[in-house]
Amino acid sequence: MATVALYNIKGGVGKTAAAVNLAYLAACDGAQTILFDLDPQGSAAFYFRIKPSRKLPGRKFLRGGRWIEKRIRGTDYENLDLMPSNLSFRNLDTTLSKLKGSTKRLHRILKPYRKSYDFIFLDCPPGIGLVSENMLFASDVVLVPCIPTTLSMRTYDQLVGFFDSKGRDVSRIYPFFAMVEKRKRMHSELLATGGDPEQRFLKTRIPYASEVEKMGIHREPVPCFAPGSPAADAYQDLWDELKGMVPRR
Amino acid sequence: MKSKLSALRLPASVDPLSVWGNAVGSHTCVTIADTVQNQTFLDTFDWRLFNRNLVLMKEQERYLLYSLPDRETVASLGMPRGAEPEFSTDFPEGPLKKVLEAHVSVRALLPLARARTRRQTMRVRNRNEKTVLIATIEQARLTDAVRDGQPINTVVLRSIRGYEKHLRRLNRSLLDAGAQPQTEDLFHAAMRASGREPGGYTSRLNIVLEPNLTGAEAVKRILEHLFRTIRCNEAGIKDDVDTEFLHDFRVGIRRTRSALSQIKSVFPDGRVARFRQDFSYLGKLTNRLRDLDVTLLKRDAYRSLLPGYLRPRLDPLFESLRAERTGEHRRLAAALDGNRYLKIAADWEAFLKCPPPAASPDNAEAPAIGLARRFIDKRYGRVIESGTAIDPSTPDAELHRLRIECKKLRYLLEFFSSLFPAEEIRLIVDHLKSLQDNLGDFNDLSVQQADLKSYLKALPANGTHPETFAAVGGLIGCLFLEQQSVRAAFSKTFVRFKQAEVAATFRRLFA
Repeated sequence: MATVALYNIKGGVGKTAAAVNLAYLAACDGAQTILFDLDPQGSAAFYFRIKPSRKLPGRKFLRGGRWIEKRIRGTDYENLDLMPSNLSFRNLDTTLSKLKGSTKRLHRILKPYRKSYDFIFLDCPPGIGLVSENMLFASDVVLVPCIPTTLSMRTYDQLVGFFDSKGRDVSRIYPFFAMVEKRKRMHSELLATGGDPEQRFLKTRIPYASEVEKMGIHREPVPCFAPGSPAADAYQDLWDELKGMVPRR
Repeated sequence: MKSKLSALRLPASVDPLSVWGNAVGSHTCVTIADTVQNQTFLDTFDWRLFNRNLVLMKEQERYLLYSLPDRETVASLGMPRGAEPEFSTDFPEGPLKKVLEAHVSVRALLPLARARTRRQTMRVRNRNEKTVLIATIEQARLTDAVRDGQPINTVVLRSIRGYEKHLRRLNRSLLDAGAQPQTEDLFHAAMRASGREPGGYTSRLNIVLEPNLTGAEAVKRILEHLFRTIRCNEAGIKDDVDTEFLHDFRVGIRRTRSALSQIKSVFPDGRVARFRQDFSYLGKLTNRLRDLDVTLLKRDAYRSLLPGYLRPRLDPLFESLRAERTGEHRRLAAALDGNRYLKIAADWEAFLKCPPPAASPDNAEAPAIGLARRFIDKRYGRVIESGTAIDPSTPDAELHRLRIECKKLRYLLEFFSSLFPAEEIRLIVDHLKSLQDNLGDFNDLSVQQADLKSYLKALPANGTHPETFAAVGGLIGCLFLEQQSVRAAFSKTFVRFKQAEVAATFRRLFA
């Protein structure tokens, strides 16, 4: 049904947490789901207790096909698979620059999975470059988690500006507020404005919550070990909102 | 991507949990479900589901229809507690009902065997506490076993993508511990334990004869086969399980009568004459009930012939037929328990056990295949002769006579089919069947019109709503029109049967 990327230039804004929880909730809804981890930190695999193969050279990944097929792992959850990454993905940008059609490569790699899965989630590395361009080209929806600070807002505008300058379709980029701390004045002041209408922020806000951090201890999506917690509810809302944005099959 | 499945049967002598405990090695197991459920396997008396490689299992309140040997779910449906659907029409609309109606038709679904299964499902995890496969240990007990009632223990392993090597490893450990790849479904074990043979009953004649049998031996074998069919349908008739028990019973009787009258001079005439009368009596005994069954089964078809506002006017008709049927069934059930029937059955059985040699041993000693050729050829000649004589002005009674001739020919072909090439017999029987269908429809429509006519006559002129007369009259009109079109189709159907190819096959096989 849709390819959904979680992306921001900034790191540490809750991309992986959102990707893991959204993919999990999609699978719970009965959708055949796969999460592609493109981030060399390999955190998604860690959250799912999956040990990636020792060697995952980026250039082989970019060739796609059977090589990827053999490295996809089933998670502990029905309908949810993961393509793990590790540190060898750190040079994807350089490797991409040497290839023909370098901005559409990821789109080509994902083609077979669009048929066999209902949802593809992409956990993208921070930064801006060829990988990000690939991600934008391959996705139907790009979700950008933003911490409600002035600096974050500026970064977000930079991000949209960059893609716009490249002549890319930026209408599929949607930001949402993440790591929201109500007791911080700046957060609440910024949230009160609801963000710039032109920026089209999603309604859901993901709170800064210890449950999200505890994903690293439990190594499970939040709804598994803290159902009913504010964070779990927020991810559920985010998933419901996302579901409403993509066409149903 | 589909996960790999492995199903292993553990020896009944070992404790499945301790075998499993040894096999998992350094893996840890987390139980995610532990249930005890009752299963009932259902099929019709003549195995209509089994014959299409289907199994209908009721588990607690859920009906599951799956195919064998791959165990793919065809349809499933949860039913309210206490619902015991007996016929496919008793199920709510949906995919399950659709498949069942197509295969089961008017037959009842009978509970044939029961089991009680404990199912423990667990995640098997590696050192990182990552689930690497899902295992289910099934311990089934056959609750109504009459023999071989040992528990059936199965381990089903389902791999998780990317972790297939764990499945291979566990599979090997279990095989080393004496497990066997599962080759049969619980269905088969349950049937065996309850003393049933799937596919063991069919209403089709599947008598196997050898060409060198003598006429007497062959006929004896045919009659024994028919007698078994007759007897094994008695209980279903008495319990009024469904209409097809009586139907098969009657077919058995008609075939017996046909064999006794057509295959002459095999047994001493004097000894057989009595049984001819007996079987004729049994035919008459069951006629009315079968007619009522046929009409009652036509209820929906009848209603659909009438406009909506007249349909309720048929209700009293069907109510009176149903009431008559209740009495008729009671009478027949009593007759089947009565002295006359029991004596006929006992005498016939004794006769079949050691039939006396015929006075003139011509046909008794002659090889069966020669007899078959002679009788079939003769009957075929008669069918062609009477059929050819029929034109649009021929009275209905002639068609009725031809129908009987065809039936006799059909029975002979079926009795002796194993002596001839199957392909050619099939060709002949297929053509004959089309002709019989046409003649059968014609006859049914006559009987139905006659029934309606007598119902109409018995309706009181005062106190009957005029719409009732309209409904019955309308129905008679529809049936009459249908009968005319059936009659119009006769000549075409008969020409197809008479065609050169079929005639040549008859000549080649029987002349």
